[in-house]
Amino acid sequence: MTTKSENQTVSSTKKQNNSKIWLFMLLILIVLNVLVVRWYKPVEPEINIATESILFHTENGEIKSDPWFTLPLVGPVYLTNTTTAMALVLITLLIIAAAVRRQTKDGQLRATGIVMAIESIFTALISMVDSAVEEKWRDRIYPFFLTIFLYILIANLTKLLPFYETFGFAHPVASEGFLADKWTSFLYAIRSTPAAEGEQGYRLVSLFRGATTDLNFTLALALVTVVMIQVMGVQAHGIGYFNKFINIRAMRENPKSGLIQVFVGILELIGEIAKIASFGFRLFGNMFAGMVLLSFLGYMVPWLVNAFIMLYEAFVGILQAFIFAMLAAVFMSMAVRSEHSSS
Amino acid sequence: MDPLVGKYIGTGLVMLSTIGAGIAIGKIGSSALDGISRNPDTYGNLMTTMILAIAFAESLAIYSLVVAFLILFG
Repeated sequence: MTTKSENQTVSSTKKQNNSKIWLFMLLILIVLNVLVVRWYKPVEPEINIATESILFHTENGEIKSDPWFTLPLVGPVYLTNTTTAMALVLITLLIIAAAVRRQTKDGQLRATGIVMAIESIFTALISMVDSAVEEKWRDRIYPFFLTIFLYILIANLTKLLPFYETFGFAHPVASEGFLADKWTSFLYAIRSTPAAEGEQGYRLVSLFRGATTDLNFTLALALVTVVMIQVMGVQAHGIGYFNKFINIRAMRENPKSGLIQVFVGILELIGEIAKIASFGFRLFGNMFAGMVLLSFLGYMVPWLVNAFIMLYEAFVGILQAFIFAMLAAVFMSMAVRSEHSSS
Repeated sequence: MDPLVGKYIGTGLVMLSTIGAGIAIGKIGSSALDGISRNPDTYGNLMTTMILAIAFAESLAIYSLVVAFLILFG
């Protein structure tokens, strides 16, 4: 330290002071959190596979969901709390995109702020799949790969925000409710004490819930990805890509080996359907497991450990986003260079 | 007997399938380590392939986890 110039030492101590203030504020927040939770026990998040509709009415003390709109063939569509979370994710992505666009509009490269962050993420990701993807197809595959990574990453990380699953609409129910304190005419705080006989109980319908903890969201993403894989295959081999599934020419030329080709085609078809299931369930299972883990750990260790599990959840979110995107890129590169390309 | 007991026992039995995923992930990791120690230059390539293979093996355990969640909270 003594060999460094005075100027540097000054700036470093300034930086240290700055970070110390942050640490101090963090410590105050932690202590405040522990004290507040001790005096005022907050409501526990409900764990349920099915998402809740945020449009509802109360009927005889029970929650009845109202449909958002009704489609002719599909039926009623509900505005669930994962849909609102998805809207939040899209807004975040749009803000990031607008910020990057504004800073790179003049066509000059800048190594600062959000542009730097996005660029380093993309460079790191691309270097990991570069060996698996052919050079000719990189311009086609990488936009999809990076988009899906950013989308799932933001969805997974926003899931950890504090107001998720605990902020929403309180409304009176007839049974199995919790006691609530009325702060103002419209602001209620639900406590974790169950309402006794004769007392008015309240239930919480949360406004936000992590988008990736909804099976519909992950399965839709998986469906889009698998359809895109087929589109890439057709772009590479034309209509001959479907020879992978039903090889008519081989059947006509040689009926004996054609029969084997039929079974191989059936296996390939099952493989494509299994891709949808494995993409969707992997993401959903990991994220939902994180939600369950966080909530059950609260019963075992009331404080401190949850913070580290939260950090682990952030890591799992990044890893799952990476795995989803990388598997999509690898499957796409497999589709564009199948063995049928030689024929 | 409380019917809830069956629910919990079923959940526990479903999660037995993680044994297979554990063996698979262990084998993948050990083989990747063998490969890296034999030829350290292949580290980057092997790492990507290894994570991919682990994701495949893990997804089987995740299926059982989803089924367990469906039994518990569905």
